[in-house]
Amino acid sequence: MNQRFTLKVLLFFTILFFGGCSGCCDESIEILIEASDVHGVHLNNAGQFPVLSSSNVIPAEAYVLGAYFDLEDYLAAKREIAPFCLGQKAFALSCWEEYRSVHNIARWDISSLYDFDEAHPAGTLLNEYFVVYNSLDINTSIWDYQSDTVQFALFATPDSSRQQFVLDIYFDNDSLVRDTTEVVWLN
Amino acid sequence: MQGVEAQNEARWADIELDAGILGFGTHLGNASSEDAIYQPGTFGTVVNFQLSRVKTGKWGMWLGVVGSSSSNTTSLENFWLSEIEAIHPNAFISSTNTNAVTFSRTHYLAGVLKRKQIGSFNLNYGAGLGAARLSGIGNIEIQTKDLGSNHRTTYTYDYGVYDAWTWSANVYADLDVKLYRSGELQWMAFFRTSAIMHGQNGEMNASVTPILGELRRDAFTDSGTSFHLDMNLGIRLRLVNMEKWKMFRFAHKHEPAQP
Repeated sequence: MNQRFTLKVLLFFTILFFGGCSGCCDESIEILIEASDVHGVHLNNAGQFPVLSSSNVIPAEAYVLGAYFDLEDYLAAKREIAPFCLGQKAFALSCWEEYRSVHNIARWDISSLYDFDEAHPAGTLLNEYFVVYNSLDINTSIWDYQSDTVQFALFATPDSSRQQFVLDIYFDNDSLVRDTTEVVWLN
Repeated sequence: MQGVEAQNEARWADIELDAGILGFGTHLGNASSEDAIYQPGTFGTVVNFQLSRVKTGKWGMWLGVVGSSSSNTTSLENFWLSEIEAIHPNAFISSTNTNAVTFSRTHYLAGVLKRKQIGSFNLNYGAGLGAARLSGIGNIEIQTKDLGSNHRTTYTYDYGVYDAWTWSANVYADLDVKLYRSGELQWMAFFRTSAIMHGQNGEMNASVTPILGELRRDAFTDSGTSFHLDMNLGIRLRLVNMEKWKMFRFAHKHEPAQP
């Protein structure tokens, strides 16, 4: 190998070093999220997606109880990445944000202020009739996807159409947020 | 002239090492295909590596590996979506999750080639025979939501893993040009076009869940020979006139011992 060839190889690796690192991020930001309150709303799922219902009369087979969380987030940490890479430091652009929950949801309970059916008088748990609809895992839905809503789809028809649901969300630190929905008529 | 020819005759063949790293291939068709949906996508990526021993104007020999991969995820998705829509005309397709349905072929080939000089270019053409390993993997999940209710249905098409060997053959031609020479090492750039064919793919099963009469389409059989056209751009390292390498080794081996 002669000198010219060696120079070409060196030039190639120099370009790779700077070009390959350009556009990278030089630090990451960690943000913590905490749910401070919850609001239960009525959603109508007769169409393609559950939407906020304009009336309080909804077909029972298309009823979804929506839980909107008040989320508070605050900066937890900044971490510097790859300080040894000159190319990366020189050409660094935007950084990514990593969200992490302070407390995961440990349990949720839904009950009604009115009799649902013979087996479920007012105040008894209706969890067996509801399915978390927008995610397989309730915590994944909120914390990983930054969604402030969890949808609980109803898979039962009440004996009495007049219902008013109570939603309890328990976190893994034993804290609780609760809301009672407006009255809804499930036909 | 006779002297030059005699000199050429005395020369050893060159050894060439090819690395075709920028390539794409297209699936031309099948000799007898029962179901076109099995066919890998129209285009796929192609790489090839080849070791040749050849001398200008003479037949030489080569050993090579040609690897290609392609996906027909989109066509499979569209196929299943149209079937589901026919069964559930009033349902919404609420989600489609696909782990790409990919197919890859690796051909292990050996054959003969010939090199002709055309101005500052070399034209190489050859043919080979060997074996090919075919593999495929992937799954598709399609979820429907009924109009007017919360009811959803999830259809899963799991293709599992397919892995099989078959025969393979190719013909190819490439054109190379010198980039740089350092002593007996010569760097070339080449552009290669290859027509490659291989035997029966066999079956790739799609286990459908839930099994419905209309949706039970659990085997795609590609029963005939497949034809592909590949193109490749690459780098060739040529060790020119191997006789000198042998002489160097011989001289080195018999170097008189230093006093």
